[in-house]
Amino acid sequence: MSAETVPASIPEPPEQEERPGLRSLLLTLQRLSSLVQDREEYDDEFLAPTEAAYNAAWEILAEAAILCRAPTPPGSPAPLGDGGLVVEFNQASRAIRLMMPASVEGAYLYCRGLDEKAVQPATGTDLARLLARMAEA
Amino acid sequence: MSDPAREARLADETEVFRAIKPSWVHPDTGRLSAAAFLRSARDRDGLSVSRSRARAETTYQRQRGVARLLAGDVRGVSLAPPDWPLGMIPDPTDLDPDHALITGLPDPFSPDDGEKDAANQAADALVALASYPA
Repeated sequence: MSAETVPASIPEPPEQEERPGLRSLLLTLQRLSSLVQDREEYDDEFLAPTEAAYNAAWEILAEAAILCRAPTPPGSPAPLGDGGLVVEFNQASRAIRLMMPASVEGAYLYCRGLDEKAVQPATGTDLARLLARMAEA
Repeated sequence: MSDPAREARLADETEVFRAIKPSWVHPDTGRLSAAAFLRSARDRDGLSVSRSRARAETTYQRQRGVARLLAGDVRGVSLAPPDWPLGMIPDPTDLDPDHALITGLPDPFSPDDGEKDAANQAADALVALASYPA
């Protein structure tokens, strides 16, 4: 994936509205950008996330950032080495993972400790809902 | 013809080491990410580890140490349902005669939701069992 495909800027959160979850998700987007720009991390044996996986993850996180009003921990993106990636949110024994394969098809959200079905659709709406559940729990 | 090396299993007390990429460590907590133990499409035979700490420490050009596991602990992971017994077998290669594989890991991108769940459970269990930094 080329650096040119990385969005040029990450929007600043509105100053007048206190939304700690938004700040965390914007930090997560910054980390996602850094993940794909760090070319020294990858080689023929350990592949960088594909452009499709990166873009799909970005869209889901950006949608969740708009929708989520609950305080959430920042997410930690990580490559799988086959072109896929994972974005993980942890709080105590609870976890939410955005699981994104290289091809994007078959992406899902995994959650643990939230009294929810473990596998959920990978949408920004669902991620915002699960993050709100994580904050309540 | 079967490969005798791969039919053997590592003794329970055998230490194995998994190379850790910098991005597999949570920037806020320093804890391992589940990504370190999720099977990728490239890990068809299993997840690579080494009995040699020195070799594991030089697996990647850039890495952040190694995680240590015991073979018996890995085999003791129980996932439900369905049951996915994990294994630990030697898999010597030209580059690393001490190379070994964690076998039986479910596919995190299987079409079956139960297998996806099991793959994430397995990764969580291995993160909890691993000593990191080792």
